[in-house]
Amino acid sequence: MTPSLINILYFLLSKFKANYTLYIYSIGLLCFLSACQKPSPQEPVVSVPVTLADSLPSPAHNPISREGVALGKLLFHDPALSGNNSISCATCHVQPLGYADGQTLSTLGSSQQALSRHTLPLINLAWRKELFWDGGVKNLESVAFAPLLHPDEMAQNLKELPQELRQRKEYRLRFKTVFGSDSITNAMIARALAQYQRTLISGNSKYDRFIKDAAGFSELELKGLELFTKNCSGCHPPPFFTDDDYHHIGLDSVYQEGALGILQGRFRITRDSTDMGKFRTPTLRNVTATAPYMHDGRYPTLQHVLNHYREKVLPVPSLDPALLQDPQKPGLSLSSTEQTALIAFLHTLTDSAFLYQPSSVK
Amino acid sequence: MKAFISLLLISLLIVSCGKDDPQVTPKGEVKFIFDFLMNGEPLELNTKNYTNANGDIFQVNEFKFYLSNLKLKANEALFEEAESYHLINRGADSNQFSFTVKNVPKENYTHLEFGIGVDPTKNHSLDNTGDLDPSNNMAWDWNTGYKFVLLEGKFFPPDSEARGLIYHIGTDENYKEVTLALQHSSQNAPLFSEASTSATVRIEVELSQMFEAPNVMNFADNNVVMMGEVSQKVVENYTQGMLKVVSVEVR
Repeated sequence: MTPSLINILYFLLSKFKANYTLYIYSIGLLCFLSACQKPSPQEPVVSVPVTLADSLPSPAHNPISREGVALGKLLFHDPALSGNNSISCATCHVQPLGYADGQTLSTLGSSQQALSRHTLPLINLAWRKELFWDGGVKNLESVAFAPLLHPDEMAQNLKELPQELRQRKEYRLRFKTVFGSDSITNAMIARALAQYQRTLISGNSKYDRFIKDAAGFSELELKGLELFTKNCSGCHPPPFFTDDDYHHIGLDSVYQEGALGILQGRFRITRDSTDMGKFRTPTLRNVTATAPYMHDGRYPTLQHVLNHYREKVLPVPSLDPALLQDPQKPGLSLSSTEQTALIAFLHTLTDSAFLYQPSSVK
Repeated sequence: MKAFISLLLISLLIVSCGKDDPQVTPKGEVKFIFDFLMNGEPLELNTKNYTNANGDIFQVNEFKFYLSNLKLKANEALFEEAESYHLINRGADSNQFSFTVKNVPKENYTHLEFGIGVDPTKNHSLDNTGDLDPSNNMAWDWNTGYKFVLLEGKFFPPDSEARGLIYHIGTDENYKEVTLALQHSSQNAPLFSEASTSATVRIEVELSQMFEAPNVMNFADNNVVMMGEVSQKVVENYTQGMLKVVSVEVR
């Protein structure tokens, strides 16, 4: 608000103090004139590495703000989000593990019962089209409700959660700042969490520096990059190292129907029989930190994963064509020296700042 | 300076007031009352055994559905409720559910139109409030969207243990609009009379229609229905005759 505008307001107030209508109009005039002032250009809430994208996507109904991200971070780490107040999102999404939990099938939830699928890392989610192993969740604003409600995860009652948070002054103030409302709703909780998760950006690995400088790779890593480009980048294309699509990589040929078809992959969502057993391509960024691997965490190391592609791919009808280069023998033909080079390349996708540096959000 | 300010204010007054329509249609409110029935009798939860058109014996524990994008139509007028999402719930305590729409221009409405379910603009995200708040057990958190119609209960097969009866109908292709004629006490009577300020529209919800016509549902094959072809048959059933306006009262 410029000083001249304030002067005008004072002038109007002194002149027309007794006249309510004119008082309202003077306020209206002030708002009208203020609206014409150009907002000062704002610095982005987070910077996006040039090797990833130009800017951070943020939906119109939940624009990212510094205060929103900070609130989301507070919620993400708050055990009050679980029914028994003992588990936070961060219990199973641990920063040094790429925001995954390192477990095959997590038992860290409320009931301590093993979940049906392996905990996914949270990396560069702002750019993902769909979420979860079967892509059932359409956006970050909707994702939190699954772990919040699941009896084996956070087992929260969503009728109680907003009331519980409202009891704390810090939350009342922060929600008011971010959403301009005295109330707290489940929608606001989900939006704040989504804003924070959009800031979990990884694009500062050795690979990224190599892309920028065209230098810094060892001979082995260069060989690995070449093999990767030939064999893997179809489904794991840079810069995100996922194609956001669903593939059958020959892990299974029979699929349990139980638990609402949670192990049937993409079929569970599309009901298209050709999608049976297909799962979302996971990102390979920070893959060295996010073991074990696959939707059920069956492979403990990257070596096991490469062994799968070399020897264990099942010849199912919906197998991804990329794994059928030799119709006699599905999978990828990789010698042990080639596997060593590939693994060396995968190590260049590790972003230690992402994994170990405390976030700058306060 | 003083003259300038006065001029400015006057011009603002003119600009602000110039757009107001001096002729505003009087407004009233419409109350919608829903009565839940099974085979013409008040629906009883948890205890009463019912038989569907296929001869299957079952009980109902819970029933609710979304009614959205409510419109009232007259020959020359259309009223559309803003942010129109209502969870019509046969609660544990009452066989009746009602909601009231306020500020409805008093026109000679002849038809009521609404969607059963949640339209794609709201069905693709769960960060919604009011009746769409995910705390209402109508949100699908694993497959983003809403259950449009939820019926849960028990199915008693003749020669085995009781099984769950779970009808959770949703997904975009199952969002359907329904038009109901507003039956008036006398023909051509307006929904609002000159003197009245409120109207009550009473709607019967006949649950047996979900399983009966045109598609007879067989619970032995379909005791759990969520999406896909079978769900479309259920949608076909409940959009044809489950809901009926039985009276319109004016006060």
